[in-house]
Amino acid sequence: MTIEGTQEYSINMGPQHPSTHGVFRMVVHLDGEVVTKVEPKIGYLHRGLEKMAESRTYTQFIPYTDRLDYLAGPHNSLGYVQAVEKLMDLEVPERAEYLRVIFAELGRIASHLVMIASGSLDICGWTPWSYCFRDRERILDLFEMTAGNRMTPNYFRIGGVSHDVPDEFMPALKSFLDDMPENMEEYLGIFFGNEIAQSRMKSVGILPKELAENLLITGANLRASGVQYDIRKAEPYGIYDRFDFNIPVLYGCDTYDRHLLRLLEIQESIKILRQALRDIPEGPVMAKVPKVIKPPIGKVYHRVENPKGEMGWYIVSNGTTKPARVRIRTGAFVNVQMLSAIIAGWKIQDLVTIFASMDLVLGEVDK
Amino acid sequence: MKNEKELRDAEVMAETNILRASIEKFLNWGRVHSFWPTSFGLACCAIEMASTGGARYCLARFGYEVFQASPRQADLMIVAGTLTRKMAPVARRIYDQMPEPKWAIAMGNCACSGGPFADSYAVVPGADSIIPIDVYIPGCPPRPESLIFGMLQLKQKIQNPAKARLIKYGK
Amino acid sequence: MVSDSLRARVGELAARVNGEVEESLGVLELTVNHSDAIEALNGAKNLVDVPCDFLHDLCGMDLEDHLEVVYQLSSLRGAQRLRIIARVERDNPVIDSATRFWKGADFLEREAFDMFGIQFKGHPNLKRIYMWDDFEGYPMRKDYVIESHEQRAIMRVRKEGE
Repeated sequence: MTIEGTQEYSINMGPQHPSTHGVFRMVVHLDGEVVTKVEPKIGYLHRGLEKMAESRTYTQFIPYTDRLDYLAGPHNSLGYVQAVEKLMDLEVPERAEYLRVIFAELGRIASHLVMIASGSLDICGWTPWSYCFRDRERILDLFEMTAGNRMTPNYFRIGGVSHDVPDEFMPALKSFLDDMPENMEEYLGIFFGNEIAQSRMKSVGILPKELAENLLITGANLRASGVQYDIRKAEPYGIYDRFDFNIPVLYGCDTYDRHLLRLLEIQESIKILRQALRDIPEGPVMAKVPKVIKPPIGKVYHRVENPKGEMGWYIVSNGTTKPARVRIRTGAFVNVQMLSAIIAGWKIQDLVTIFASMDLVLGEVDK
Repeated sequence: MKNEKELRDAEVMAETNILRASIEKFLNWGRVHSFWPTSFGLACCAIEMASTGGARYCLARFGYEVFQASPRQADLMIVAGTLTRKMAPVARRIYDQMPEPKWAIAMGNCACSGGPFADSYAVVPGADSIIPIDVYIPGCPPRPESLIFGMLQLKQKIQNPAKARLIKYGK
Repeated sequence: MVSDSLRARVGELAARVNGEVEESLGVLELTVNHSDAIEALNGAKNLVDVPCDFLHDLCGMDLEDHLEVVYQLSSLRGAQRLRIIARVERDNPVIDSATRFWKGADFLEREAFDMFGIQFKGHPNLKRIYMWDDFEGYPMRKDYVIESHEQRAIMRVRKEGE
C-alpha cells in the first residue's frame, strides 16, 4: 500500500548502529517514513553459554552468569545459585541472604539507571545520561569495594556469598541511599517533566494488556500495561517476603509509562535497601557446603525477577559435578517479539524510542 | 593488509628527508591527540567504554571523546566485547570502510584471545584473526583507567614507530 | 505445595492424553508423547479452577535416545505450576507448534529448532535465530563436535541478503 508519491522499501539498521543498544540488527520495511514491518535479526552476540555450562562445574559457571545481563551485575547469579541450592536442599545463612538482597537490588537500580539514561540519549538528551552514570558510578564503587570488579563482581556462591563486606561498605551504602531521593527529583524534572520527552513518548507504542500476555512479555513492560505481576510477590524467593514494598503498576501502556515505571521501581528498591540495611544480622556468610558440589539427580525450574523481565533457570542434574543441562530463559529474549507486534504505523523516530523503552540488553537476548 | 617492507622504506625515507620528517612529525602529533573512535561496542566492555567517556574518567581531556557513528569518519576501532563468528564479517567490513591511517585496539579478554568463551562453538578466539590489532588491553572488563592507558600506549606507538618496531622485532 | 485440586485436575488431564504424572521438588510434571503435546497444552490452559495459561519457557533437551521439549506453565493470576515434557524422536523430531496458543512462543521455538533441530509444524517462520543461516549442525546436541581454534578463526563468507 503506497501513499501517492512514496514507495515501499526496506533498510537495514545494522548490527553497528548508535541507537541500537548493542549488536542488534533489524530490517525495517518502510512506506515513506511510516514503518510497516520490522524483522529483528539477532544472534550477533551468541556465545553459546548453555553449551559451555555442560563442560563447567556448578561453581565454575557462576562468573559466566554475570555476563548475561551485564548492566545488573550480581543479579544474574542470584537465580542460578538459588536454583542449585533448591536442588541440593541447602539452607543459606541469614546474613548471606540479606547481603544477596542488597547486591541484587543495587544491580536492579544500576540497570534501571542505564535504561533511563539510554532512553534519554536516544532522543538526544545528554544531561540525564551524565547524571545517571554519576549515580551508577557510586554503585559500581560499592561493588568494587567488596569484590574487586566493577561490573561483574562474581560475588555469590552456592550456599551463601564468597566473603563478608568490608567495614566501609555499610556507611557508603547509607550515604548513597540518603543522596538518592534528591537525585530522583532531578530526573523527574529534567527528563520526565521535559516537554520534548513527553511529546515524543506519550501515547507512542501502545502495548495492550491482552497482547502483552499473549506475547509472553514479563517484567516492567508487562506492569506498564496494567498487569500486576511481580515474581518477588507472586512466588517469593530468598527472603523477599520479609520486606514491605509495593509493586508499581501503570495503565498507560505507552513508552512514557514504561520509562516512568523503572523510576518508580528504583524508589521501591531504595525502600527495600533501607529495610535490609536496618535489619541485617551478624553471622556467617557461607553455609556448610561440601568441597565438591554434586547435586542429586533432579530437575528444577527457578525464576527470579530480573530488571529486564523474568529470568528462569531450568537445571537438570545427573548426579555428577557438571550439569546435564542449564537452560536460561531470559526476559529480554522473549520481549524482543514486542517490537514487531506493536510497530506498525509508527515512524522511524518512534521506532527508536519504542526500542529504547523495551529495555533490551544483547547479552541476555543472545546468551 | 600493509606491506611491511614498503612501510619500512617509507619510514626510512621520511626520517632521512628533513622536510618530510618534520611534516610527518607534525601530522602524527595531530593524529594522536585526537583519535576518533568508531562506536563498535559489542558486549560488557562497551559499558566500560561508555563509563570512560563519562564524567569521572573523562576521555574528553585527551581529545578522544567523539564516538563517531559512521566508520568513514573515524580513525580508531575499539573492539570492545566478544567477537562472534556471525559478527566477524561485519567487523571486517567496518574496518575496511575506515580511511587510512587507522588503528585498532582489542579491549577485553574476549577480543584479545576469546577470553572465557574461547572454547565456545560460536566465538572467534581473538579479534586479531579478523582485524590487525595494534594494542591489546586485557581485563574482564578492563577498568576505564586501563582503557585510557591503552590508548596512551597507542599514542606512544604512533609517535615513535622506530621504538615500537624495535620492541616487536628486537633489531 | 501442590494443591489438591491441581493434582486432581492434572490427573484427569493425564488420563485423557496418555501421560504420566510425577512430582519433582514441588512441581507436577506431565510426560506425554509428541503427538499429544498440543492437546495437553490446551487442556492445561483450560483446566477448571486452576488454569495454567502462561507459558514461561519452552526448551529442548537431549537425552541419549530421544529429544524432549519441556514447557513450563503457570498462571499470572494463581499459584499453580505445571511442567509438561513431550518426548520427541531423535531421528525425525517433529512436534506441533505452540504458537497457536501463545504468539510469544515464536522465538522460543526458533531457538529450539536452531539448537536441537526440532521441527515445529505450523510455525510461521521457522528459521535459525542464533546461528547464521548456512550453519550446519545443531550445537546443543550432545554429539555435536566443536570446531578447533584454527577453524573458528577463519572468517566466514557472508552471503548476500543475509
